[in-house]
Amino acid sequence: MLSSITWAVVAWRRLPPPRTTALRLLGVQLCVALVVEVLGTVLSLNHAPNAWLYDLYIVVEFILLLGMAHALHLLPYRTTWILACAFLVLVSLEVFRLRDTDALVVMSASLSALTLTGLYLRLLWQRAERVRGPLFRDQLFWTGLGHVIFFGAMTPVVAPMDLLIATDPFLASSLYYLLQFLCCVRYFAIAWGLQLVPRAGLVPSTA
Amino acid sequence: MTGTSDIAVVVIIAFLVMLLLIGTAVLSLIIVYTRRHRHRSELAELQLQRDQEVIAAEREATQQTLGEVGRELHDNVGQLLTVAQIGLTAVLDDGAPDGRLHASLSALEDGIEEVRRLGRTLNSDTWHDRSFLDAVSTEAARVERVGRIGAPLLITGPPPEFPPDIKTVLFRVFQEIMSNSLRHAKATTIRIALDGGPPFVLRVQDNGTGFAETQAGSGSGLANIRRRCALIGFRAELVTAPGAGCTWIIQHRSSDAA
Repeated sequence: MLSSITWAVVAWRRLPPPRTTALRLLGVQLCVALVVEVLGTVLSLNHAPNAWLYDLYIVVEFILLLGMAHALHLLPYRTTWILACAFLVLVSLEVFRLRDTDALVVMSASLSALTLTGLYLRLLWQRAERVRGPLFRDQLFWTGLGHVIFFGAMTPVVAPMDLLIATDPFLASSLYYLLQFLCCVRYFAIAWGLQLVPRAGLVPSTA
Repeated sequence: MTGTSDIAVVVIIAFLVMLLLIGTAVLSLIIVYTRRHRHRSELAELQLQRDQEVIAAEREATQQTLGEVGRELHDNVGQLLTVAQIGLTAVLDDGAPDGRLHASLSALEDGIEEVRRLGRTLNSDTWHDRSFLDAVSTEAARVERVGRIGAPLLITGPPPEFPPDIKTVLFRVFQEIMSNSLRHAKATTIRIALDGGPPFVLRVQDNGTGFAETQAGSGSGLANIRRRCALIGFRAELVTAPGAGCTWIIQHRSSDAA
């Protein structure tokens, strides 16, 4: 998983300037993801609790990807802000309800995943309608595909995670491998899309 | 354990179902994209066909109009002038010879001949019936008359009979070269040499001022001449220098394959 995120970060760094707002936000999200994965791994190896790190990351990731969706004209400005604020409230409520810093905010994660799945499915539809060249050479198509696969398929895995951690930690950790697999698929797809841009000689595309 | 096993099974099934749904959605997108792409290509092709038909129709309309003007000149105007000629001739036959009447009759006869010639030129049906050699000869004679310069034509072997499209473009290229020489070269003679080959070679050489090709304007007709020749399978070579006149060599590319 770390290698897929690293490849995505390297591909993003190799993008020719100027980078659009959407690509800048994607770059920030990739860098944050890399840092979180490294820190999470270190904490896990030291048997320290790391759920709080991933809870924080879920919030940051959602905000960044919402911003990216707005930059790609998938969401109007007001709706973006409303969704972001609503999500923050939801996370706060769930954290308050759980009162446990080592618990994952699975409900918020599931809802954010469903929201982002819908948004990036819309991005895929938009690209299919607007792209004039080959769809498989469109950078945004691969970015959207990675996000749709990850967030769409992770929901049934994440939703019962809290219950499984409490009742069957072994099963929970086994199912976690599915999340890691989805993560790899996501970042490999994003990296593939990003590395298409310098080869095609294109300025990074936006909607 | 049974409970968590059931949960695991449900999770895995739900995971696979979600993947299937996502796969179906992406497949639908790809189908939509492919159809749209195909429709766009078909539309572009239809648009191109339509544009070509419009151009062809405009060309036909122009040719028809010119043909009608040519026929009108030849028939109506020529007839009226002929009537005037007959009247003047009758007056001269009846009365004493008058120098002014003779001059008027001579000018009228020249006018009739000019009108008939113009009518033949404008009538595209007549043009298509003529060979390329006839068209070049007529054009050379016209340039001599209009430009008051020499335009001798040297023919070495009869040229092949080109298809009408090639003949049209080749003749337009020849006209453009002659026109450029008349307008820009300040030449007193334009020598035309036509070698039927193979390969077919048309050489147009003037004794004008010449020019440095690199200093020709970016919108010059030189590129136009070369492009038109290339389109019909000919090569256009220009030899010129300041003070050394200008020579165009138009050669059929059949010699390149040999």
